[in-house]
Amino acid sequence: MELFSIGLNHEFAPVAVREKLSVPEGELGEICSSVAALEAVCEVVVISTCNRLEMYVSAEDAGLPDVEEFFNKLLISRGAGILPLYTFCGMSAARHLCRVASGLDSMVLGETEILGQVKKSYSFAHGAGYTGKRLNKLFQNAFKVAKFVRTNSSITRGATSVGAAGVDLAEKIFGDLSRCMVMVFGAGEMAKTVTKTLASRGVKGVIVSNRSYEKAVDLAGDMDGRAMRLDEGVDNLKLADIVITSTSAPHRILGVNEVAKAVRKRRGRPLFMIDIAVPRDVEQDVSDLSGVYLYDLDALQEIAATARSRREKQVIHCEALIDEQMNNFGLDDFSAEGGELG
Amino acid sequence: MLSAISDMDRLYLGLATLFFAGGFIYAIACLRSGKYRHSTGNLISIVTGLVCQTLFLYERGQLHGRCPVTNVVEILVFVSWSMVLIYLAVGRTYRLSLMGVFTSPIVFVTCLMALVFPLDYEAAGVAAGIRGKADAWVEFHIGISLLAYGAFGMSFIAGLMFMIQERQVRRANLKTLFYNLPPMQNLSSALFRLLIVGMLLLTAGIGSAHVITVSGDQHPIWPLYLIWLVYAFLCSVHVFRGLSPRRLAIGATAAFLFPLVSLWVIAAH
Repeated sequence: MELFSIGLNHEFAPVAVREKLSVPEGELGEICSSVAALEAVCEVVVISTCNRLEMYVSAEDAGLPDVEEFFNKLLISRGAGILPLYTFCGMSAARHLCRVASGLDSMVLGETEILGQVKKSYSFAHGAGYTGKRLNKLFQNAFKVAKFVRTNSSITRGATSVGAAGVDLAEKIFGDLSRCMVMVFGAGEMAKTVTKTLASRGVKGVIVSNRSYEKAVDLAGDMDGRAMRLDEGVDNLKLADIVITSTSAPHRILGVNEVAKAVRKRRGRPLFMIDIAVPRDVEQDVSDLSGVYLYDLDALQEIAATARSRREKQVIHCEALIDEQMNNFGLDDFSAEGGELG
Repeated sequence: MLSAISDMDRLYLGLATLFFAGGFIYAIACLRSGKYRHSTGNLISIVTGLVCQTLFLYERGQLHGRCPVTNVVEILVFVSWSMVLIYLAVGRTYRLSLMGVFTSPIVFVTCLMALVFPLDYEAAGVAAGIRGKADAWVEFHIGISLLAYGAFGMSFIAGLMFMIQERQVRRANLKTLFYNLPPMQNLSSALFRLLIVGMLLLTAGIGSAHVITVSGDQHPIWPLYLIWLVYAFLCSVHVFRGLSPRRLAIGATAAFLFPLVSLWVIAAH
């Protein structure tokens, strides 16, 4: 009896192909059932995310070609054609799962969402009876390894995108964002992305202020917010805890006087400002005001780049932690154990 | 009897210093590794240190027959004991666990300083005999005033933490040990609450000083009034004029100089 892992990820297939391979939750059972029906296969878990499609299979030693053939047929049936696949056996497959669950195999190194996705996939297969002793042991211990890696390294630390860097800073200032009002100046794509990232953390509300009122109404509608004209937004700056500016105005829209006036009315509550417009919308001297924290696009990009580079430096340490923990949880003897469908 | 007490109280003080040294070493380890990890071991060492400090104060109280704040050693231990107590009550309630990393070194140094000074057992025993039964209001006044000092000590630590966090947020530098510091807003709220707690305790301390009936050589009260005015000014400007959290933190950190100096003024009297 052998453990196999077969699949492809963002390194093997471009997004145009991966989107064809994305398996909706409703179809997951069908694929698991088809793999489990293969003669040599005893247990199976299928993981499908936006960046990977993988199968973990416990099968008889000669079962791998059957699973590979099934996988290729699946790719063809979904219009992806024949693609290079990676295959891991025994301990390498166990190690690969630990890397995936720890976020070391992700496009954004160290991202945490993948652990939840793997847990969900396992939980589905387990609930439907497609897992047994071997895959249960593998997945349950891989989750423990992933948790250990995250706790004992800095692989998840720091924001790796401009939007996440903005959220990170906002949380360092305010902690709980549910009491924070976000005000956006401009209705461009970048402002939309950053505001959506912030809104996803459950902010109190969003106000969109734009020169074109219609565009403000559109964006506000997308985010369950309120629209204001540009001058009205400037006058109501005191209402905002977080300000995002991204207009295409050729001149500054927020100067020291406007911000200082708002700060005085805020009675000591800090004001966090992200200026992602080029040319910048906020006068640079605003950052000298007490209680105002102003960042431009370069500052946020630098935070994200530093975090990415720090995460890359953590990979070797994480790999060593995985090896150590695989040994502790007995995942290093996977080629020697048998198992049956539960 | 005196010899037995002298052995035991120094032993308790030594043990307390050792346990807080554990916290101190943990803080250094965090600084060296550049990251903070929540540790039950650190909490246990702080709690055990507090128990040893309590036993020390109990032994000294038995020796004096009154609240053990009769010399620099006892005052240092009492203030650091108050700080640990308030850290455990406030720091952990508001999930400011990293505050322990800042508290341990300060309490460790305080205990170490206390350990260096000699303790006067004979004089204490004689004085206890002369004084006879302790006055409850004197005990209350001293105890509650020093608890207020503990709250101000913790507001000093919270102010320090706020300034570090503010500095790294302003510089967009979130990669050091202090990455795990609590959000500025939480620190600012905790700081203000600590100031209010300190003010209330000190008000009770000053109030109780006026109902002390025993005659004799009493400590001067004016330093307490001065401290009360300094902190009252800070709190009222924050409440009524919207003093920014940064200025409040700077104010609370600087204002702690007054309780510190007053300890020497009172002890020297």
